Amino acid sequence: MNETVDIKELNDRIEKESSFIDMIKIEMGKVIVGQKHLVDSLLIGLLADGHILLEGVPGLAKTLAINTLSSIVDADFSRIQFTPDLLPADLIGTMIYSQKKEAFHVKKGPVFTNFVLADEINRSPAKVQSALLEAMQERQVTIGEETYELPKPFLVMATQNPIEQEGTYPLPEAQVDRFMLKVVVDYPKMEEEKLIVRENIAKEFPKANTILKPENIINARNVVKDVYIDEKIERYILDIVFATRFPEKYGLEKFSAMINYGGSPRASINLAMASKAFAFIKRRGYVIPEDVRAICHDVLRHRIGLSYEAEAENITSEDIITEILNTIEVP
Amino acid sequence: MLKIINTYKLNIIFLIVLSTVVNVVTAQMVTVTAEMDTTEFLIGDQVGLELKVTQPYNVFVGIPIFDEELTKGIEILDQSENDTTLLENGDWLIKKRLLITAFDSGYYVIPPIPVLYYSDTIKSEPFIFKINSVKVDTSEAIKDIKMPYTAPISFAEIFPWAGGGLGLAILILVIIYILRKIKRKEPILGRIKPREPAHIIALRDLSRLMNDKLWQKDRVKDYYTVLTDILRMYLWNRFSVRTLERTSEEILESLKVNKFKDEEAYNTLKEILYTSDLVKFAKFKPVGDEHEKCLSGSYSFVDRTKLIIEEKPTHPEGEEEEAEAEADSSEKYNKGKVKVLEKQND
Repeated sequence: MNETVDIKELNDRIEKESSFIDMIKIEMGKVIVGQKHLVDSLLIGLLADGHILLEGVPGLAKTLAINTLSSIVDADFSRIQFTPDLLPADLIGTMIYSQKKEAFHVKKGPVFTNFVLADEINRSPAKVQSALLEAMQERQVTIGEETYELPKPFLVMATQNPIEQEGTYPLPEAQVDRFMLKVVVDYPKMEEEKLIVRENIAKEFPKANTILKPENIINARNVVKDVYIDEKIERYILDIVFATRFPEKYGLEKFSAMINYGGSPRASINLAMASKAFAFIKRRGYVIPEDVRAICHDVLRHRIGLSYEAEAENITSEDIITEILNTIEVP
Repeated sequence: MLKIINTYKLNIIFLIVLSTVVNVVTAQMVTVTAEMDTTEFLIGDQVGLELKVTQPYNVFVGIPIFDEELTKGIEILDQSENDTTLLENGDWLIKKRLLITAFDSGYYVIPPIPVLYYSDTIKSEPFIFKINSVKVDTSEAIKDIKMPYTAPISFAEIFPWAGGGLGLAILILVIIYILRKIKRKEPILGRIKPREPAHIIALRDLSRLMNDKLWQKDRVKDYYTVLTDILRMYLWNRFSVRTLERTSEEILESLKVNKFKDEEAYNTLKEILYTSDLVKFAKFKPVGDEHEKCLSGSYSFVDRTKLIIEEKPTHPEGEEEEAEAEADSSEKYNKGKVKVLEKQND
């Protein structure tokens, strides 16, 4: 076989830059039992420079997973517990008057860090959640009249409890769209849970080692950006996203009344970026349809607005995405 | 002159007297009687009234034609034609029968019924009859005297409904038929064209791809795209595996799930799909013989996995052994049942 130079060179670079992937998985595996998909999703977010929203009932190691990932990377980390009385200034910072200097000075909030763990983000009202909008999209924060850049890498990893639970506020569409992935965390398997119980009884909690520097992540991100994505794959991604907007054009008339709004252009961008990151994790210099399908649910599930008809019919965004994937022709 | 006048007067008087005498004599020979079947009946009942006129055969008698009412309160429902009978004494008996009823209780009088006899009128004798009302038992609740009468249903009444129902049933069957045809994507009228076997379609498409010489024209990506499309369509037609919406990995997995046993064919397909993926998605450019290898591999895969239709003969009982001996004769297979056998070269 004769591969073209670009892909061969890219594969070599990937081989070199992705060596830390296995190490991260090993370190994560020390602390997190099972939850392979959760770990892969965190890596995709880390490599594709996309924020991650984890959803699941309490006790599924969501916070622990993010904490562990942060500890593996030698970078600044802040954990913000979102509560109903939290204020936007508690997140981004505020102007404080100094009597000594007789002037206002900026007190930066906990968002000025590399990794932000927004724990139980939907326990705070929308005004606090929205305070993260600028930080997440522009990687900057405006306090008073000044705009401050956030450190690189900057990643928001949020956890939320299912919206059906008491005392939760739904995230605004603009906010939720800024998360590249929404990962639904499920219960561990029986064997995995047995191991968790044993570890807790023995009080033996292994700790992950710090093995990565922020520069490693930035370098890896540059390689991820270069992962080749063919025009056919781009077309496939667009078909999937457009099917969420205009299902009737793809022979999915039954979903027309069930979808209030489909994926935004950010969905297409994130689907492409996450596919590249997934291909990188798989040590490939190019994206194949399997990559797109592997991360499609995580990228799209929070970007499809369901109508009352869908709720009445018990149709979820998961069902719609699955049906779309089973309908759109693979290149 | 006076004598002539007196003689004339006498003649006239004689004629008048004679005429009167004749009339009186013949009038006494015409009799009119009226009698009812019964003189007492219930309100609303229908009773016959017979008018009888006896007369010499050579005189004229005018029998009346009655209106709807005989007298106030007595209705005539029907009246017969005059029925004339010759009596033994040579006179005529004329009968006319009326069907009468009344809807009010009490006593009624049948008035004298006049019959014209020349300038005279001869009348029947009047008589009385009584109409009784229905006895009401006030101690019981009000109820129907008789239950409603159910008229028999005639064919003319049933026909529109039966015809309409039959028409509606036919219409529903026609609609169901048309909908089924549409659902199966079959022509509504006319015969269904039998589907071509999957391998015939695939082999024809592969020949067309070879003739198009896409990779020779440096359209390598198009070449592999068409090649995989042909194979995917073949797998869909042959194994009913949904391939168009699945990735290479998923297609291979589906074949395993479907217990695809030909390992060599499986590996050939796997190699073709993976090479095609590299070309389509990774800018991979295979060398010349790899293009031909993929094409020949596709031919081989289709050939190894094609559906073979074998005809199995049917024979009467007891002739099986004899039939087996003659099984080589292809002529014997012509009337046999068709049995579909899958060629598996494992």
